[in-house]
Amino acid sequence: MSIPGTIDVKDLVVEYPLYQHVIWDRFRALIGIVFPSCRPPVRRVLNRISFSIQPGETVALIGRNGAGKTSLLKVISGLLSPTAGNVQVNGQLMALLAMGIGFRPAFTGRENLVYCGLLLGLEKQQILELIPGIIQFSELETSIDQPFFTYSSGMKARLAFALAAAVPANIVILDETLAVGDSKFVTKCYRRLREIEKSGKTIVMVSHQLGEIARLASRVVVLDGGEIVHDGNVLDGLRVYDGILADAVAGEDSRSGRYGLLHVAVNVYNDRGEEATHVRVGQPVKVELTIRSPGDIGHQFVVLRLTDIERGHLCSYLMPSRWEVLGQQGVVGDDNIFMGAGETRVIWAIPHWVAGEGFYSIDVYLGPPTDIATLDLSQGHFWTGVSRLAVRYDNEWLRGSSTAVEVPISEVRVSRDYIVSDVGVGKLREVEQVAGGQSRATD
Amino acid sequence: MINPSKMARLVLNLAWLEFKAQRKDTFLGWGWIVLWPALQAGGLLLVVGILRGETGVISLRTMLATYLGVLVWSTAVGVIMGNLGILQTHREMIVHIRFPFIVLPVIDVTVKYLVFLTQLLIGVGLWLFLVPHATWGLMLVDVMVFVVIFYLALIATAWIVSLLGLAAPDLSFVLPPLFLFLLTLSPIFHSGQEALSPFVRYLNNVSPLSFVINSWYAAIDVHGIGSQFPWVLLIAAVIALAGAYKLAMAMYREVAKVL
Repeated sequence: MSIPGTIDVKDLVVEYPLYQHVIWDRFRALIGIVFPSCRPPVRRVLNRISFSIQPGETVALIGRNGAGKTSLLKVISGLLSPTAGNVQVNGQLMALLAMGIGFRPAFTGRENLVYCGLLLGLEKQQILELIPGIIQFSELETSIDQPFFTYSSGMKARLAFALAAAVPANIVILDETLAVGDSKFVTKCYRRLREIEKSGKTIVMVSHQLGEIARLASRVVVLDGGEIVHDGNVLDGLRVYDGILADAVAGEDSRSGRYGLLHVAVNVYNDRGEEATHVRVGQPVKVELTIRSPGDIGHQFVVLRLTDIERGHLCSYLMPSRWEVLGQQGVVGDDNIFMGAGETRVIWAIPHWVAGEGFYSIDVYLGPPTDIATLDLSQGHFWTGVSRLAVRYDNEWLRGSSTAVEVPISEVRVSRDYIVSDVGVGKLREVEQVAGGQSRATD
Repeated sequence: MINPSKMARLVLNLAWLEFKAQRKDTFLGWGWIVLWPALQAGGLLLVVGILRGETGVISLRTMLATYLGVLVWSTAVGVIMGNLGILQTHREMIVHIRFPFIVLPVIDVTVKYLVFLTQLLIGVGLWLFLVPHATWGLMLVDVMVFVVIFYLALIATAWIVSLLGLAAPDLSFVLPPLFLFLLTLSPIFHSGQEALSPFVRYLNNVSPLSFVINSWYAAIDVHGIGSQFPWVLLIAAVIALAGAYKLAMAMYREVAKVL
């Protein structure tokens, strides 16, 4: 007998058509349903995966982009038919794979609740009974009868989540759906999910937010290249995921035509002075850039670039005089450093790590003297993925309901410490600077 | 397995919401439901009349018959054109929301049909009131049967067309001029008594739309020879519906992968 809330996935294979000419290949794919020999080439996104989920479990699916997470969710949700294998879902399922999809711009919020509620399988009477609770949860009492196109994205997300959370189901599927809305509403969503979990329902979620996983998941399934590489403990799963990301950001060759045999390295130290690959949001850290050069290369514009690996977007720049979070005005300073033969070190002492939770790659850029306003990256050289850093909320933050930590950028303290070695002559020069304060140099 | 009564409720509820929303689109709102086919029929009558060199006054019977013919024609063409891109239009819904999206074309047809029924009520009412008929009771029965058959035929068409539109999107460019061409040559503007060229006769014989118009005109007794039960259309609609449903069930399962 099948128990409501269980999911059994057996030898699941999912393949998508590989498009070279979209229209023609789509035509072939459709004809191929009837005449298999006409099918276009395919790419396999899930390769014979099997696992079971028991009622009451909260399972997080993690993996790099393209690992097959969303395809797996779609197959479980019944949105996608498997190419091969079998998926058995027992009980009522509610899948929230995207916020605000299905809502009609011309309808009011209330009409949209009826419309989408019907799409989600509810009866009209059932929806009418649920509507007061949904409006209360979404806090949209004053705008529920306004046209949907007047809603902000946060309001749309609130309405969508409130509706989805109200749908009675044994299994709840979520695909990165909590990454929207303000922190107060996100906290409310977490509380609601906790209630769902405590009521013995099964939750299957995909998220790149490690805090979200740490808060909610009781089990982690790590997917890589369409296969399961870990299924079990959350912390072990995160470590496996960490390793996958590490492979993905393996550093490039540090040789460059312009700079010859230059060695660059970045190390991060925690508040105890130990080298760290993980830091916690709000933790004091030291970032050290070491550049070793066999010869004098003169003044160079140096910058470290933090890139969010999962989302692939730029987060911030660490320059010798400051840490500039993109979009914020930093302190103007001289970012050009003299690089003599030997070793040059730049150390940033940061009282509070302010970059948000996630996995970062740290790239090093070296180029001709300039300033950030006129920086032309094509003039210098990038060493990408020189270091990799995982940033997480610590337990203290987890215990609270906060989802974002904000430390004023003015509290970032930057210090410089570099050595210039001429042949046979050792020379030490230190520069200390507090953001917004005075510089001090000693020879 | 689809529960038919649940599906019917879903379709009716969603279609009613959509239908109600149409009044919000324009200043005149539902007024366009009646005005639009009247303007279309009037305009076409004028253009076709000028092209044929007719200078006399158009009779009330001809005007009403044209209006009723254009109603059926424009509903059928509206369903075909509306469903050519329906899967692409609802792509986000199809790939993100778990619902039986086989109902999407049915909802579209139902919304258009609600409009059609409103127009028809007025059109047939005027037709019965202004044009004398000996067997109006029988004619009403035939009209009601036609209304049901036409709905089923449109659902079958919508399912097939939605898949055709996905496989060959170019159809959305090819079909509008073709439909306009066929309309001007259709039985709406050419009564059976006219001496038509063999080419036009052939086109009207092979065009499913002309076939529907002939069945419709037979049901409302446009030619004054007595109302005729549209039995050929009934058989064709039932076969088409069964085939289209089977095809849609098989193909729609794979559609999310190619969208």
